[in-house]
Amino acid sequence: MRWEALGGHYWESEPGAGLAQAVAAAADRLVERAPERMPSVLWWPGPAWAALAWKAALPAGRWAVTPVTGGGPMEPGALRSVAASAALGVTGAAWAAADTGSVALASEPGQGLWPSLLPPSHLILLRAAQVVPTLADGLRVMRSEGGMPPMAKIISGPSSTADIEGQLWVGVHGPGRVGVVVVTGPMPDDGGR
Amino acid sequence: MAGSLPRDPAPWAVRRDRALANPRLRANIGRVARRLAGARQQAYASYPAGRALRVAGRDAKRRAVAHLEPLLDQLRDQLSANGARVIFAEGPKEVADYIVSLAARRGAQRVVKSKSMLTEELDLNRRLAAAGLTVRETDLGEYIIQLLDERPSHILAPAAHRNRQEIAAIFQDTADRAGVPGPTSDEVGPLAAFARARLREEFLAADIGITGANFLVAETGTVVLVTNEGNADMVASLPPVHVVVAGIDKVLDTWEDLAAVIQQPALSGVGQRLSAYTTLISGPRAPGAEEGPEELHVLLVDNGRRPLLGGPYADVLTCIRCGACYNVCPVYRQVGGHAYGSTYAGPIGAVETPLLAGLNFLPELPKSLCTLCNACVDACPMDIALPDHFITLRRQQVDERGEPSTTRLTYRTWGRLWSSPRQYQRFLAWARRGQRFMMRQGRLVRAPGFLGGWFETRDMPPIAAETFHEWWARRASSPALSRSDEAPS
Amino acid sequence: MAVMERRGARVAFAAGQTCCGQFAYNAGHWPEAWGMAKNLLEALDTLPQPGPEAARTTVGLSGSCVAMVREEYPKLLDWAADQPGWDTSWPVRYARVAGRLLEFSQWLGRAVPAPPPPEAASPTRIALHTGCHMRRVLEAGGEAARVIETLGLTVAIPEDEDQCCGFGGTYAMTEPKISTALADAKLAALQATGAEALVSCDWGCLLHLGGRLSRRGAAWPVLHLAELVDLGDRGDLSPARLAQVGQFVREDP
Repeated sequence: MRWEALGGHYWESEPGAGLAQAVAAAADRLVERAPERMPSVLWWPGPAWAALAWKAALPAGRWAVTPVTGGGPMEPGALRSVAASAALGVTGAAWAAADTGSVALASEPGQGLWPSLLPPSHLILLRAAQVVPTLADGLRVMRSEGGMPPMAKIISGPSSTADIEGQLWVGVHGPGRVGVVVVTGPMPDDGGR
Repeated sequence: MAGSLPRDPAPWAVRRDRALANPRLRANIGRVARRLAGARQQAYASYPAGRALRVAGRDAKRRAVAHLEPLLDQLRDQLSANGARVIFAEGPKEVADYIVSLAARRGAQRVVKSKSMLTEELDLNRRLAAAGLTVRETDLGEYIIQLLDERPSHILAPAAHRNRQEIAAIFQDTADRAGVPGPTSDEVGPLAAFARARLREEFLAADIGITGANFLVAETGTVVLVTNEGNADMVASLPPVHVVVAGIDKVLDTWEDLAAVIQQPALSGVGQRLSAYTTLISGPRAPGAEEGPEELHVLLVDNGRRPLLGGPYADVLTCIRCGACYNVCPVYRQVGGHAYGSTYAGPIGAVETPLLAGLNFLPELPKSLCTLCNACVDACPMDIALPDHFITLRRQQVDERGEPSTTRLTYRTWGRLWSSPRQYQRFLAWARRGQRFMMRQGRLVRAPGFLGGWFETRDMPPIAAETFHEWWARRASSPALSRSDEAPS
Repeated sequence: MAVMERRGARVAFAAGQTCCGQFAYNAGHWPEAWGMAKNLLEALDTLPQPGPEAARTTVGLSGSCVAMVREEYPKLLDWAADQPGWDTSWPVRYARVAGRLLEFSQWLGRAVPAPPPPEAASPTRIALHTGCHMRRVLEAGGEAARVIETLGLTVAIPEDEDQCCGFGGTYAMTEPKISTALADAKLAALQATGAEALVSCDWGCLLHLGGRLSRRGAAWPVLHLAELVDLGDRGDLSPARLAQVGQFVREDP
């Protein structure tokens, strides 16, 4: 996948205990720690990752984690301010395309996009079976799944601009650091890929 | 109906001279244009699949423009079914009126925008501000020029005409007024960080978000936005109301067509395979969800586009605003975007502006901003026949508008003199006599009429004592002169 | 002509020719352009036809003019077909003329086998300017460089070589300021190569760039490719000789 060429960070892990370690390593790499404050994390990878033990990956002594596990446990409006103040947002993904190095996210019941937008760092959990060869393949996947989500986004690297003297600069409005943890090996519900 | 575009009141000669007299502007524009043009070439060179994609994308756009009306109906039906409100708007006034009354109904005051050339074309910010709304541009380049009260000088990099030092100065000024710390230096990083912090507050406080659209997919009712900064996502998902203002030319038929063209803005514009963010919006927030706008309004704007359908200039409507033609255009590199006098610059701007707003609107554009070097048509991913359009627009202007009678007479006379060998001989004899009065140190330094433009800055050699024609005629009548080495050079 | 005859060609000249009409066509004055086009087609169509058809070639000395006839005349013919006084024989005559038309460096590079370059390349550098229509419309930009290399000279390609020099036909007269700004940018890039002389296959570009140099009082030699090849044939490509032949106002022979 071309993800790293675009300035994205990349980890691979087998499912199981190693995965929590990979997520921990990714979070450490993506978040710049200030000594006096414990970094906050908006954990919202969606129902597909419900089995992943985030407490093992992001232990309470090191991270202040707000998990969203469907059903909306928070006050209305609270989610936005959590997202706006988080140091790291964690999401799942809909699919990824190898040729452009892109990861697609869709807003669905139980999966929001703000963690991919407002925090300075964004970590994506992706299963290897979700990677398709080309962007066109990915768009086909999205289309074939029936009704379109209200909002979807295809992320290809960190937020960037060339508006000042045509020089590329990373990290403007969206996350300046994006990482993906790809879970390789068979997962029970992968359908054999 | 002809569209309505903003125009710089200054006449062409003033706009041109202002640009040419500004070496810093020319250096800034030239640097950005060269950088982007080079990035585009490298991107295609390292991505062979890009070439086939380009052709498929062009065909998808052409098909859509050829069947625009049914696609627009389908798009409206589909978006409505998804819960959006769709409005067909004629021009600037209808768009502004709609948004102003929407704001009144919602009690909305603060508007954030992501970059949209169409809203520039509609002069929307000024109209909304006149109605009392506060409008904030959030694309970094647009933010800079909004602070400077300027218009974009480049379609992708609106502040391309300004350098870091100038940008640092306006940011410092803005910070002083707001009583906050300014950027820590004039390097790109601190400048971007300053804008990020300032604009973040505005995103979170906004009542309405306005975006354009790069593409509209009829079969699913999807608005597609392409950005690198991520500001469009914020504009579209943070405020409670999202208004999309899109040209009717943005519609595509199918999702497959979208797949064919989606990479083109990035590939041809900045030399990336895909922009950092491709955002696909198909409706407002789902019931019970917390994210996304409560209301989604999609305004489909004509502003002079429909009259082009089915005509010789219809391919202009396939433009995806990638800016590739700007970056390679030699004239654009010299004068920058403001000299064009309206929203769109570069080759596409010089062609499209009079097509949208009427041939009498900035009539200098087809004539004075193109040397017919053909660089634009080579760079255009949609193969828009820009050089042909320049020539046919000039022809139409000559036919319909008429030119100064002296210019007309010059071409008539010149055409007649050079349309037969006998007249040509007469011209040579006449010119040889005449040129004696226009020479200095053996060079021609003056000429009558608009031909004199040449001699403001350049010389010309005089007509030879014996031209090749005359030498040939003499040789033909004299066998002794058969050695070709004596030919005049 | 000498260059062509030395390469075994029998050369004829259509004395009735004047101009291809591109300047008027580009400016939107198509009736005038069509008048000149008809004259050119008539002149080229009545050339004496020595030898077998396959060997007949019409050679043009400016890439832009050749591009006009080859790529733009069809559009002009389409337009003229709807005008009064149209004669249905024009498309046939056009096809005959355009079918055998080549630009000079194309003819030199393709139609005639090139001699091998001399053993030791001369350090003399030639800055090559390829006209826009030569490059993009005819897509024949590469021949001239090969021809210069066979003369044993070094070809210097300027930075931003694909940028227009600003000539553009009557554009040079109607927009002299922009045209001159482009000429100055082009000349700066060409002279930055450190070359001894400027060579091009387009008289229009040469007149414009040479005229600008002359007005600035700069004495950098400016030559058409044919002149350079002629000097090569005569065995004197010294900088002094280039400077002599490449003066802006040519000496009468």
